Amino acid sequence: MNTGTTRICRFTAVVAALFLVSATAPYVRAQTHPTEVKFGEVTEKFVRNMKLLRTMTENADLGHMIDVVVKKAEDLQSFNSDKNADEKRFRIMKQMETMLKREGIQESDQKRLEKLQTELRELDPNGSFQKARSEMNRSISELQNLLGQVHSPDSRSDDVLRLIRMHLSFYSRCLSKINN
Amino acid sequence: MSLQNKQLRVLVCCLALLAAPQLRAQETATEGAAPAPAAETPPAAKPKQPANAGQMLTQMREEETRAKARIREIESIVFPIQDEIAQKQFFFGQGEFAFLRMQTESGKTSAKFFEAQARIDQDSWAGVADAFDIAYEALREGKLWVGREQSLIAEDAALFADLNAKVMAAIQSRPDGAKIMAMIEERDRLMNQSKSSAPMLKYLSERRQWWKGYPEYMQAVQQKTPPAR
Repeated sequence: MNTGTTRICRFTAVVAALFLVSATAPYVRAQTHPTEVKFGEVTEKFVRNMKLLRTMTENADLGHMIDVVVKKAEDLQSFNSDKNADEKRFRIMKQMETMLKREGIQESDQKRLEKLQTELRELDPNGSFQKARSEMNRSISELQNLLGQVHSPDSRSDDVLRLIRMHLSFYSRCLSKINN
Repeated sequence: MSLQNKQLRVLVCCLALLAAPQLRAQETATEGAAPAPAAETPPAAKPKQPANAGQMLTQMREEETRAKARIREIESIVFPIQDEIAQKQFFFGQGEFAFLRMQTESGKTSAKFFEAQARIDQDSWAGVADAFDIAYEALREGKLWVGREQSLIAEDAALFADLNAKVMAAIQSRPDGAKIMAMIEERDRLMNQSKSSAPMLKYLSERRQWWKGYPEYMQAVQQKTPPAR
C-alpha cells in the first residue's frame, strides 16, 4: 500500500470517527445527563401550586398575602428568565457546588470560585434579581407569620394551611441556594 | 500522483456531501437555542400498530367503569351495616367509623406521597420540583390529607383495622352474614383488579400518543371509542 492510499485511509477513518461522534453525542448526552431542573422551573411550579392553594383558602387576609407572594414570585421569575440568566445561573451554581463538594479547596479553586461569584453578580448588574429575591424572602416570612395566627375552622382548612407551609418552606430552601 | 490527488478530491467531496445534512441540522438546532432533537425515527423502527387498539381501550375502560359502579353499589349496602354495628359495639357517634375508614383509605393513597417525600432531596431544585408536582397532583384530586403527618394516619389505620375485625366478626354472626362477606370479598377483588389495571391504562395512554400518527388508529377511535373521560 503506497503512502497516498495510507493517507486517504487515515483521513477517511478520522472523518468517519468525527462524524460518528457528532451524530451520537446528543443521544449519549441524553442518556448520561438526566433532565436538569433549574430555579425557573421550581418557581413556575411554586406559583402554579400556590395559585391552586389560593382557591382553597377562605381566609381573606391569607388569600391577599398569598396573592402578594405569587406576584413576588412572578417578578422574580421575570428577572430570572431575563437574557437566559436562569440557564447561566444554573451552570455557574452547578460548577460552584461541584467545587465546594471537593475535599480541601486549593488556592486555584478559591480563585475559580471568586471568578464564578463575579460571573453570578454580572448576571444581575442592576441588582434587580437580588432585590426581587429579598422581597420574596420578606413576603414569605410575612406569610409564614400570618399562617401562625390564622385559625383553621375545620380539618380541610388545616390541611390547606399545612400544605401552604410546606410549599413556603421548600421554596425558601431553593431561594437560599442562590447566594449571589 | 495526479491520480491519487484526484481520488483524494473525490473522496473529500463525498465526505463533505455526507456531512452537510448533519451540519445543517446542528446549525438549525443552535439557532433555535433548543437541545438537539432526536432524529426522526426511520419507518422500519416504528412498532407495528396494535390490531385492536381502539377495542382494547374501550374494553378496559368499560371494565373499569363496571368495577367502579359495582364497588359503589357494594359500599352503599355494606358500609351502613358496618357503621351501625360500630356505633352499637363501640358507642361511636354518627359517621365516626366512616371517618376512620376514610383515614385508612387516605393512608393508602398518601403512602405514595410520603414515600416520594421521603426520597425527595429538599436541598436540590430537582427534588423540590418533584415535591411540588406530587403535591399538585394530590391537590387537583382533592387529596388534601397528603400534608398530614404519616404516623397519625398510620395510628388511625391501625385502630380501624382492630375495630373492623370486630365488626366483621359481628357481620358473620348475622343471618345474612355470608352474603355480606361475599360482597366485601368481591369489593376487595374489584379494588385490586382496578389497581392492577392502572399501570396498563397508563401505558396505553402513553402508547396512544404514538398511535395518533396512524390514520387507521384515528379512524378506529373516532368510530368505535367513546369520548375520553
